[in-house]
Formats: sequence, structure tokens, C-alpha cells
Amino acid sequence: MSAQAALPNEGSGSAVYILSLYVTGHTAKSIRAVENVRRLCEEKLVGRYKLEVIDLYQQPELAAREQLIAAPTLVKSLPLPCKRMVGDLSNRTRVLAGLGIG
Amino acid sequence: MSAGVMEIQGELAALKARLEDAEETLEAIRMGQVDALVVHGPHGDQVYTLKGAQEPYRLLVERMQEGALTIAPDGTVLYSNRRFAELLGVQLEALVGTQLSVHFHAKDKPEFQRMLEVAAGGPVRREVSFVRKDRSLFPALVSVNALPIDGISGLSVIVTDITDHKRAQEIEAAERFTRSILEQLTDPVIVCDRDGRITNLSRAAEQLAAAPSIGVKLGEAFRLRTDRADTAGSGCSAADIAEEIVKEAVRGKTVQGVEVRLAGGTNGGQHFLFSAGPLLSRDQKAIGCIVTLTDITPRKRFEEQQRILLAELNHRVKNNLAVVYSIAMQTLRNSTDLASFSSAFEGRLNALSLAHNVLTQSGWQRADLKTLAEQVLAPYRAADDTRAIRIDGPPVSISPQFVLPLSLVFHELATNSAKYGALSTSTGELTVAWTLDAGGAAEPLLALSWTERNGPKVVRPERAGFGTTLINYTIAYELDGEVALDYREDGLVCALKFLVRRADGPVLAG
Repeated sequence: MSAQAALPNEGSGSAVYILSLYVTGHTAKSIRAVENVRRLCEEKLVGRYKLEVIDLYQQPELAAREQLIAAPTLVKSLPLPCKRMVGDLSNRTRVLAGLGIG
Repeated sequence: MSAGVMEIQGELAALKARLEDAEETLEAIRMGQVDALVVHGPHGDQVYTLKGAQEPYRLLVERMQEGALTIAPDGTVLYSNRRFAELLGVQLEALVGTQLSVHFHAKDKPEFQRMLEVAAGGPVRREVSFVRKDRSLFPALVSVNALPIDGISGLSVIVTDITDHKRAQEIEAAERFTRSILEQLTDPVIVCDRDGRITNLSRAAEQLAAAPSIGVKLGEAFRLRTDRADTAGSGCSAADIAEEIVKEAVRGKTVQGVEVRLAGGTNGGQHFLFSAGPLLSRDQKAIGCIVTLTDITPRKRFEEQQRILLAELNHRVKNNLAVVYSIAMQTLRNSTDLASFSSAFEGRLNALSLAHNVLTQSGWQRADLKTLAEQVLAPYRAADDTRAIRIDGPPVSISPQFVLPLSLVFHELATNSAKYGALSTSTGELTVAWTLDAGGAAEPLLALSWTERNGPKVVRPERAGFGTTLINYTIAYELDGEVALDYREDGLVCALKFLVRRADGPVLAG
């Protein structure tokens, strides 16, 4: 699965979000997680986020780097603190809280 | 706060965050929100898909339009999707466990064996034929690739039915073939759809059409006319004919040999036989028509010429009989005895015969004036003195209806000269000369002079004989011209003037 990205809007002055979503092919929860996180980013973080979607089937070595134990997992690298959320990200309130978006 | 305490508090916060992450992860796993786990093993990380997570893959493979199989290295089918069973027309349950090669066409079985041998080294793809359960064949593209499953070596096989692709290739080849035939055809051939719109046409037809004609209605692209009367009694127009014939052909009827002519354009006036037949699809349905135009212009011209010639011949025969009758009567009236009648009548008939010879040589078309004069005067030339008779003038071609009267006039003048004039002595001279006042007129004036010299002294006759009457009558009524006879002492001079018709072709020959 190729990485999907939207370039951050550097001139906005708002916090830029660097997100990595680790999925396993097109399993049901992976597909739902991709849909959920993209929708949320387009609604709340338009122009100031970078999202890459990584398929662990294609790059299993990345799981070790991030010390992942389940998929799908969304990792927020920026803004700090680092945060990871496991599951299909369908609980919107929890995801927003995890990302620090009010 | 001491540095030690701050460090401990920092570590505590980090551990707390990791604990939260771990709890969240466990909670997500427990709640069934994940579908894969990453397990660290001696061979690195491995992703284990949880139960149910493989469903999308299974559906993908089951619903794809290609046949998908897993086979053992010896060709035994370990797994097949439903689509492949459908392609073969067999039960899926009957397929697993069998040798895949049994479904190949005999000629492709050795090739499949070779594919099995080389597939371990990399993907291999071939076009082969499979045999369906009903013994029919279908062409397919087969890809074989190595597929390691949990340490067991297997092969993945993807089978793509290329029947439609092959058919498209065949249609394309047939199109090319048809196109090349169309281009080579010398007769115009036009292919139309059910509405009579042109979809294809031969190069000869393209040249006939007034403008680019693909997509145009047949009747608009080719301005055809027919002399055939329709129900209203008037001639059919192009659109009528085309529409009517296309309809008939699309109904499956073959229409043959309707005579049409092309109106306007550089090819206007050409005559064609218009034939059409249905264009049939694979299931024998008429999907349009094929129209052939056979050029019959030369035939039509020949028929027209023949018709004119027959009418002309009929007219001439009647005229000639009348002329012969008239000559016979006049000669009889002017003859003192049977011998003089016989001689004069024979000479005049001979002049007519010579004139016919000249006409026959020219195919009853226009004849050359000089040839005519030469033929009539030939008997009067002395074998040893060719200068006694001079024939001089520009080339003039005269129409058939002038040939007979002129030959008779020449004959009368020559006979008269042979009896009483220049041709009666060895010293006499005769000059037949003419000029043509062309001047661009449709009917140029021909001025011809018959001049005799050095013959016996000429005496004007007391009364006009038949010869003079015939000359006067012929020039005045047959040629619609003028004649002047001058009985000079040293020789007769006859001046003729008449208009030469251009109607049948150029007056000036050569």
C-alpha cells in the first residue's frame, strides 16, 4: 500500500501533524482505519497534516521500529507528546482526544 | 526539587504513558478492534492476521474475473476459485486434487510441464487453450509464479479467458482484410449501416463521391438518378433510390442491376448498375448493406451510338432507294436508247457505291473530303499523268449526310468532263480546290471550285441536261448551298458553296 500524504501548510502557524497509520493489507479494520483517519484529518487538520499509510505485510520490519504489537495502529509523531492509538479509529471522540484536538 | 526527584518523576510520567498505550492496545485487542498482531520471532517480526481478517482476500480471489489457483509443483490443484471452475464448466469440488494439465488442450500439455519446471525461477506466462467439460476450447493467458506457503513450495496460477480478446483480434484482422479488398476493388463498393449511412467504401467509390462521405447518407453522398418512373410517373431522385434499395437490402433482399446515372461533379453522366445485398452479422442478422456500382458508361455509349446508327441506316436506306429511283427515272428520261441508259445509270450507281465505300471506311462517321474526291475521280486519272487532276484543299471532315450528294455531284461533273470537257483530252487539266472559312463559326462555309482547263472549247448547252439538274438540285436542297456554273471557253468552272456542319465532330480533320 502506498503512502498517502498531504503536504503541511507551513505558513499557517498552527501545529503540523505528522501521522503514520500502520495497516495490514486491505483487511476490514485496516480499510476502516484509513477511511476514518483521512476523513478526520480533512475535517480538522486540513492543510497542516502529513499522513503516511504503511502496509505491514509489505514492510514488516517497520513494526519493530515502532514497537507495534497490533494493527491497525495510528502513530502521532508530532506535535509532541508522541501518541499511538490502536484499532479501526471509529471512536471519534477518543481519536480526537488522542490527537489533542478539542 | 532536587534533580534526582525530577528525573524520577520524568521516568514515572514516561512509564505512565507507556502503560496507557499498553492498556489501550490490550483493550483494542480485547474489544476486537484489531485484525493483526505483530509477533517478534527468531526470523524477525511476523504479522499474524486474526480470524476473519482474511475475508477480504478470500472475496477478492473468489470474485475476480480470472481463474486463480494454487497448485503443487507437480501440477496438482490445491485450491481453485469458483471462477476457474466456471470457465471449465466443472464442479469446483471435482477440480481440487486433480491434475491441472488434464484440462489443457493436448498440444499445450508439454508447454505447461515446461512452465511448471521454470516457474520456480520466476514468473512465466503463456497463451494456451483449455478444454471445457463440453469439449469446446477457450483460449487463455496462463501465468504461473512461485508461491511459498509456510515453507511448502507451491505455485500460483492465474488464468485469464482471452476469448473476447481473440475475437477482437479476429475482427480487427477481418476488418484489415476487408479494407484491403475494398481498396483493391476497381468497382465502387459502399458499405452502409441500417440507416443507409456510409460506414466504409472502396477507393474507387471515394473518388466518385462529391465529398468525404463516411457517416453521410448514401443518397446524399452519391447524386444518383434513374430513368425508371416511380408511381407518380416522374424520375426517381437519388435519395429515393438509395433509401428504397437500402431498405430492401436491410430486409435481407438482394437488389440487382438498377440502372442509375451520376449527376453533377467531374464524374457526372457516368452510368452504373446499382446492386445491393444485406450485410450480415455473425448471427445472420442484416446490420446494413453492401452496395456495388458497376460502371456501364461505355456500354451505354455504345448502345446509344448503335441506336443512332440504326436510325441513320434506316433513314439512309430509304433515301438511297429514293435517290436510285429518281436517278433511274431521270436517266431514262434523258436517254435515247437502252445502251446510253445503261452506261449513264451504271456510272451514277457506281458513284453512289464509291460514296458508300468512303462512309464505310470512316465507320459511317464523318468522311474526309479529299478522300471522297480522290475516290470518285480515280477512274479518270491517266495512269501516266498524275498531274492532269489536282485535288487541293485543307483537311475537311464532312458529315455522312453530305457524302452521298457530294459524290454524285463529283460524279456528274467528272462524267460531263470526260464526255465534253478537260478529261476528254490528254492535254486537259482539272483542279478541284476548296477553302474553308472557319472563323470560329459553328457552321463554317466551304467554297469549292471545280476548274477545267486546256480541254476542248466549251459551248454552253442549249438546255440543261440531267447532270446539271442533279448538281443544281443536290447543292440547293441536299446541301442547302449555292452553285454557279461558268461555261468558260477554256474550260468549265463550277463553284460550290455550302455550310459544313460541326454537329458530329470537328470539321477540320487531322
